[in-house]
Amino acid sequence: MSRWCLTLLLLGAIACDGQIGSPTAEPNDPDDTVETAPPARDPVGDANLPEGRRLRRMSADQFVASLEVATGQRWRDYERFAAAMGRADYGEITEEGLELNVTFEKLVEDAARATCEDAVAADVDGGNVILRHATSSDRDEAAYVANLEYLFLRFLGQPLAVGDSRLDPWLGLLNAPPAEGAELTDLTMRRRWTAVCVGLVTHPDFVSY
Amino acid sequence: MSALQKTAYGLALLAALWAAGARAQETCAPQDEGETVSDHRLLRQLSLDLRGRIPTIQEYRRLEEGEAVDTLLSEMLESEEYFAQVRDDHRALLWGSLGQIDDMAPGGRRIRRTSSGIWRVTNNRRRYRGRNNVECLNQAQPASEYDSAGRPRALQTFSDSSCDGGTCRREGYVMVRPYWAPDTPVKVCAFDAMSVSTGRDGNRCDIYNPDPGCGCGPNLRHCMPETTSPAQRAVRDALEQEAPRIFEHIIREGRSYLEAFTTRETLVNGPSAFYYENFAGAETVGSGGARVYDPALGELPDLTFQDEGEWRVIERSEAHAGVLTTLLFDLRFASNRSRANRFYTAFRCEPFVPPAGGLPAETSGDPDPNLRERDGCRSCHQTLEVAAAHFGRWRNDTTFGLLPSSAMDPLGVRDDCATCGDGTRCSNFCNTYFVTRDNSHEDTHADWAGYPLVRAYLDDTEAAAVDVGPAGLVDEPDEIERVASCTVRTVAERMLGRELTRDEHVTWVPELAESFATSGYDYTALIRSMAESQTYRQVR
Repeated sequence: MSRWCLTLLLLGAIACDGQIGSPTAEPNDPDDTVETAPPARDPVGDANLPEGRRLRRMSADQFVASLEVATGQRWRDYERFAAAMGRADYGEITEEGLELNVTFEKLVEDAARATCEDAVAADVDGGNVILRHATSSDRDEAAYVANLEYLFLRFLGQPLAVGDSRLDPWLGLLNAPPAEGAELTDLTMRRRWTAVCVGLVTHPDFVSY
Repeated sequence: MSALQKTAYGLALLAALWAAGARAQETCAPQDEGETVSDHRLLRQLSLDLRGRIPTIQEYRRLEEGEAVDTLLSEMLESEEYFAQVRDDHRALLWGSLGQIDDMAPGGRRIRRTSSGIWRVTNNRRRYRGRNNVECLNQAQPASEYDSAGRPRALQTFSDSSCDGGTCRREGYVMVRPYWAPDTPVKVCAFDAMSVSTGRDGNRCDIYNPDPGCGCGPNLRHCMPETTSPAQRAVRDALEQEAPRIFEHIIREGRSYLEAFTTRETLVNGPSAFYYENFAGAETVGSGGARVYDPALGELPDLTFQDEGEWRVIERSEAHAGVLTTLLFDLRFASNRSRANRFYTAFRCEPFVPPAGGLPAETSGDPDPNLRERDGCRSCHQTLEVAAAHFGRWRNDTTFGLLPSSAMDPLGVRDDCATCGDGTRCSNFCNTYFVTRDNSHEDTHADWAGYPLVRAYLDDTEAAAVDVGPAGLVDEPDEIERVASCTVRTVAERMLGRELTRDEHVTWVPELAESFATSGYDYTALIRSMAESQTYRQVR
């Protein structure tokens, strides 16, 4: 757990400049640096915030059960890799492994690819688990948005407001033009929706809670 | 969720999308720190903690249609998935595995399918046919080729000096409907398939009688396929579920959680009932393997081996004490001390650990044989020895069963064990359960020869624990309070995903423990209290 938290902190440190707030705030004027007053510090919050529940990784069993709820598909290889994902056998391994490590991430991706491909294939055959508000024939952004909103709720439990910027990268994927000279086929869209599904399963908000 | 964590998620998301060929960008945004989580998020964590999976889309929609999270919480706490989670959580506390037991078939009663497709008992060819490489014939045993007792006659004999008695014998096969697959008859060597009730030695044919006049019995009920076979896996799975199902049974009925450590009830399904019925009951004492002597279960339900999903409650003998006298617990923890240790660690939250500053050095040349007095040992063993004594009437060393009072007087001396070693060999039984010259320090032997090992160095009051049994670990008010507080702490730490703070130990745990007691130690009420607490509903 601590390793995971450290990883998150490091990633956060790389991505953020430490400023929490609106990215549209007025940029600093370089001339400000000549001021003699000490630089203002970020407001310091209450150091004694009440302890709450701590964010953690899903267990192996929770992941595979949740994957089935989200995609409608059971990961067929789970029993082969359950121990590598941290499932305790209570003989030699008595504690559930909850570390977010490379092995776990790799197997999550394997599971995501296998089940998402099956789920989208099942939808093409008449199902409506992944492709509920859009089909692989749709080229309509409104359909993309409706389906993405549905998938965010289904996979991550996150309701999205109209125009939520979290949709942007996903819409970027779905709206991407085909390679030069190529045609945007239903097969391509089917692959893109599969990629959306894989992206949601491998999303940290899916494997943590 | 913190801003940094959220940012990290965003980065990982970007990586996933980049891998898929998309362009994306993400920004850092302020998040709720130390604040109550949204209903959607609360529903998700409740579902994962209580049912082991995320909510369905329909459940999220219900939230959006105005239903309260607590309505869904109530439904969760009545669902079968919640009770399955209860089993899983308690299996984790018990370290519930029989994986360390190589073979659930004791003695020489394992049966396997040979390359010719005919089943026979392993390691029994010499006994049946005179030499350990002689197989039965691949031809049906004629109905006319049986003696008056119902034993098959050899269809072929040959003389060879390597055969026992100078002659080897070969019989044919018979078709048998095995208990693990009665709809699929299989070929079984006729000697191995014998179903006579009495051996040539005049003794009852059971799993422990090696007499060559005995076989696997009707439907091969006294033999078990190899370790990796579906039949043995079904038995192992059933026995691993027994103790967790006692917890579930008590919790499902809203009874006091503490009854899980004292009740005489247990649960069996088809495979475990079959196992207890057919792989138990020997009167002699051996060693090794998953031997079941006297499970003291009383009447077993009328189930077939195929009834894996049928779990029935049965009443055990008075000596039983909840989960602590299940086959799972007593085989998983094969010594009295390890059983007491697990109980103290998992259910009192009091693991036996060295004192702060480490173990003191030995000061005398000859360590005191009494671990309650020995330097470096006494800090744990002062308590552990008394706790372990509660298991004194239960077999150990990967065997299971209640020792009959004829075999052990918990407070008295067994003469043959007291005197053995002086020219007579001490039996395995004496060396396993009693103070003998073979297994004890001379000072211990001088004072305690022939007494049960668990009795040594206990005063009379402490030694009463042997007779009271494991139920005595949870019968005093102080013991009840400790188990209740530990349960609160375990539930809280599991649901919060962290260790509790000192302040929480001092203030919150006692409050929850009091509420737990007021509810009559209703475990589900405790879970609900936790789920409804402000602490659980905020995240940092």
